[in-house]
Amino acid sequence: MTEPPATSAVESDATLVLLMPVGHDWYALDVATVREVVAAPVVTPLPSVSPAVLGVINLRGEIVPYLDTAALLGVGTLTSPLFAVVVESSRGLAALGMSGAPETAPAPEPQDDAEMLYIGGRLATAVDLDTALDPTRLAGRR
Amino acid sequence: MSRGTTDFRQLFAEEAEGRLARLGRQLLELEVTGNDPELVASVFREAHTLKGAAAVVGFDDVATVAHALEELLEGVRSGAVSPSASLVDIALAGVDSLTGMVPRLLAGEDCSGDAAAIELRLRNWSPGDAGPEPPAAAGSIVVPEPQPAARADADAVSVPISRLDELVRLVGESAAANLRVGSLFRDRLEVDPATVPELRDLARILRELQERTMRTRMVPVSTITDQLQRAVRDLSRSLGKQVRWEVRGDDTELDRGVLQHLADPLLHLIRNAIDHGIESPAERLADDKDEWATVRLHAMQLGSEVIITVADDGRGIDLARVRERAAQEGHAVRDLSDDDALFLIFRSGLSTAETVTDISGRGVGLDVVRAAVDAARGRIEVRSEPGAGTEFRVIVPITLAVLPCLLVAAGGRQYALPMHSVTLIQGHHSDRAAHAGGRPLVWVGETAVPVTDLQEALGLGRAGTDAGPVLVVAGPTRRHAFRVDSLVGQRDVVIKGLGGVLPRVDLLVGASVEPDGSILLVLDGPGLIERARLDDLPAGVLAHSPDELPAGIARHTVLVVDDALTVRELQRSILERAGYAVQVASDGVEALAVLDRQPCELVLTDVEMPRMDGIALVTAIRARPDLANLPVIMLTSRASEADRQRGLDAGADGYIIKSAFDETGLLAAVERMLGTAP
Repeated sequence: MTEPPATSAVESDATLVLLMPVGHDWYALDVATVREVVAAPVVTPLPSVSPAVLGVINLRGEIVPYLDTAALLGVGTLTSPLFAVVVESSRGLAALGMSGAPETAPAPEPQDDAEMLYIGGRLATAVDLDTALDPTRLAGRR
Repeated sequence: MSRGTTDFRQLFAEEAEGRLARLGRQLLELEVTGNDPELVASVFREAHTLKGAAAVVGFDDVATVAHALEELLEGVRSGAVSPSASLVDIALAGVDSLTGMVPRLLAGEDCSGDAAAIELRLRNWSPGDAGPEPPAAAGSIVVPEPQPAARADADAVSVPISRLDELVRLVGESAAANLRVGSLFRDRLEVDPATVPELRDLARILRELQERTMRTRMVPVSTITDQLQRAVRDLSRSLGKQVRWEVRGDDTELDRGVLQHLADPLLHLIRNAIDHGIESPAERLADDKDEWATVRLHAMQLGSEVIITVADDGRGIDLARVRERAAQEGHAVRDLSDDDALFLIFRSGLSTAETVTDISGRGVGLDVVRAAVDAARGRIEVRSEPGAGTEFRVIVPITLAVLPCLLVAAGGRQYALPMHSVTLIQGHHSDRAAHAGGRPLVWVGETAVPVTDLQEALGLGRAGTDAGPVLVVAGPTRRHAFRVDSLVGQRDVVIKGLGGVLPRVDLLVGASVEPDGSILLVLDGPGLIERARLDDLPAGVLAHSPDELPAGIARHTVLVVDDALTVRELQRSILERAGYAVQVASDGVEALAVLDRQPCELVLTDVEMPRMDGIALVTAIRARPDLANLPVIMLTSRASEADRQRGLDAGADGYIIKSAFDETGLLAAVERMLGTAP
């Protein structure tokens, strides 16, 4: 019998950001959009979908698309993602694959037009979920 | 405001929504039927009741406008003014204003300015304000019969849709939990749950509960046709065009969520038809066409799908112009077939309208229509004939909830395939395997059907063996066989969506969470067939062509009679692929004319048709000595025993209900009648 994936709730605090390791880089997500983090998700691959779609996972009975964060952000592809962060976007839940365990850090002061943020001692790029999950990035097939 | 007042205002808002919808519908009917005293009294009563109820809950702005509306209608009731198009215009404007006002008032907004403005317009209206002569004169709009069953209030309660959704979800979870209990019996106690009477009863009750719960979400297509009729009326008036509106099959039911997805796309198709498709009365007369154009909406259930057709008899789509515009947009169009080129109209930014209007023509419409149909897990097709009109066909599943499925293994994984799309399962028989044009085929009866490995169709590489069982899968217009590694079983699958983030996955209907937590993917039969056709098969050699029929099979001619182009063409396609020659007619009169010209061995007819219906056609056929023995099958949406008996009494030899229609059933019935069954 398949065991449900180990999960951990993310502290609900609007003053935090979640730092995701993707490849060699870090990306920052507003923690308010994060539902939970899943370790070693069991993935069911989908036929004939975009390379950015790794498959779907079962999140306590709910089917959630599991996505290659690197492909969505246009920085290559993830190799053997170990964790997924489940986010709530305007179009529903999505699980974003990560290269390692995420970290939380206090949100930095708002910085106009700054693409890179210095957060918790790391340089990270802020992720805009609506842009990353734009349907055109998920269209097409392998 | 007290809690009690808030509750009453909410209640008023719900009541007002129904009353205003009814008022709008009755005003349109009044325009057509003229001074029908009963209808006038009903319209007046609605406005009056609305006024009183609004005053009770303190919505004075609504009461004021309703009062002005009531006084306007009093003129009609007393016979002082006639229900002209101009009067209906201003009354509908009042209804629209009230419809927008109620939710705003409920949210605490101030609507006094809007109320005063529309009140003034209503009070200042006079019969002299007729404006341009309305094209929508009496009798121009075909008003569908009232739907008492769908709209009756007496024995109904209003339930928020979220509560129904919650019920559907919980029932689905119960069914999934029941499957888990069955698994526990099998795994821990080594007892087959099918042998335990209590578990069998529970499963049966849950199935029934699931079906009944699903039904609560079903609504008739008529729930959206009022706004479509209104759009036809308003647009044709504003553009000076003369348009009849015809609706058939609006009692066809489908899931409320699916129908909600379709409301906007259908409205857009109708706006497009009137703005671009329909010519001006002068142009139509110059082309020897009836100056009254027709826009038709036809809904029908076909198996587990609903087909909604929007057709007009306008100028059709200018394919050369589509190619030209597509080429300008950088599309490679030279080698595209006409069908593929026509499909380009669903691409973003491709409008062939000469001028941009505020109605349509910005090229941002049909791509949105297609996306909305995709979101309802449906598909859209288009046919167009220059000078004769355009037909859009929207095909959607009735519901996405529970489907009986066949479970198969392919490429080391398990998949579910909805049973309704599987027409035949064959074990591996080397004597029934064949090749043509380098492609594997399998014989199904006397028909050769192409075969593809399911593993390959799913993009999982080539299968190592060709010894697995073969499933013949039927789509709306073609069959294809898929070889699988093995058959696993058969059961009901509670189908969930893949989440709103993903675009539609062509090969999947959805997925299901299994008792062990794994995810079972549910395949889409028509999607698989299309993929196999596109990926593997050279064009022009799909299945058999009638010219390549095996020796010894006589070519029978079938006459298909149906006024719905969709149904006619679907039947023609199925029959021609099965090797029959097909003649078509759009009603009984035309059918008799065809039979005079050309001998046919079988007639397949609809029942409800204009000019001469199916019953009258059968009666006429039986009355003619030269046709008395001609077999006739009726195909109709009427499912009652009385209707079936009426058809058989008239002399029909068989009867197929459209809701149970599928390719296999149709061919089996035809083969039985003609004695061509293998």
